[in-house]
Amino acid sequence: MATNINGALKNKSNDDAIQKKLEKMITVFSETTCLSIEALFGRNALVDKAWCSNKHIEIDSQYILMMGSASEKYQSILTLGVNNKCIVELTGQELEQSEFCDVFGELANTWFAVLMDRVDFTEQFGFLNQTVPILYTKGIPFLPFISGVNGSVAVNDEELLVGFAIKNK
Amino acid sequence: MSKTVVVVDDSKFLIKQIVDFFEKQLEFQVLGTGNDGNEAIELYTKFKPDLITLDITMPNKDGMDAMKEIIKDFPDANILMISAVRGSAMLECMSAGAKGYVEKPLKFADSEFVNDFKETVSEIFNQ
Repeated sequence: MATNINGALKNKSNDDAIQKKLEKMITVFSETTCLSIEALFGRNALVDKAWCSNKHIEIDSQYILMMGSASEKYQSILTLGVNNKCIVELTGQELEQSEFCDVFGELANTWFAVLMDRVDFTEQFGFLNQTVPILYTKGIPFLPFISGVNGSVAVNDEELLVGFAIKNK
Repeated sequence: MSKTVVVVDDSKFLIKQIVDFFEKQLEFQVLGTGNDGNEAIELYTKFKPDLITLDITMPNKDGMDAMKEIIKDFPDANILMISAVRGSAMLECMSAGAKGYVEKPLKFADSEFVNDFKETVSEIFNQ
């Protein structure tokens, strides 16, 4: 796709507008993460490192799960990063690698469901429909030039990293 | 005689919880479980259960398409959608013939949620 300077400026303006919306609702994402963990695993999670809006998302973790979602106007991506200790802490057991995608895919699915129940989010972005999840191992996904938020929560000191990015279609 | 159910969800982790709920809380007999829409159609055709639960977002064939195909062949099928999808999905499913819709997350530790779920299942058989 080719564009001129006006097109590029319009895109940047859209991205900046989305970034501002996200900045105003950062706590929505940390709360969504804690509520999702409680709903799915029955565990209390605490907000760990400070959540912030970001123009890029970089997550360094043993396992990375990504799930997309989209509406007619927006597309987004959720990135969850966990390690083995966190998985044991959440599920109470060691999981086979083949089970990771199953369990953490459901966490991502739950995360979107809880987010879609937040009026403060849907008033701004509407309803997004989830895709099926993809699991990577030992990856460090780097999403540049995005409008996003990232942060982490801890369950009994074990960290779960979260990144969420959204853009106009 | 206990009622029968087939449970279809792409998460085996959730299938265990749903099966447990139907067996222990509702005393249903679980005839089979599947992970996508194709398996849902196959299992329904094979067992013709009293109820089938379907997730919406699944690989290969999603729950919405599976529901429409089941209803085409079995217009009286009792289909309960169990999904995390919000927005117009519930209305679309009910308009297309689903008898009930339960929203994930499935909070089986929450008595209010459990009672709502039971009531939804009960209403399906009392329609």
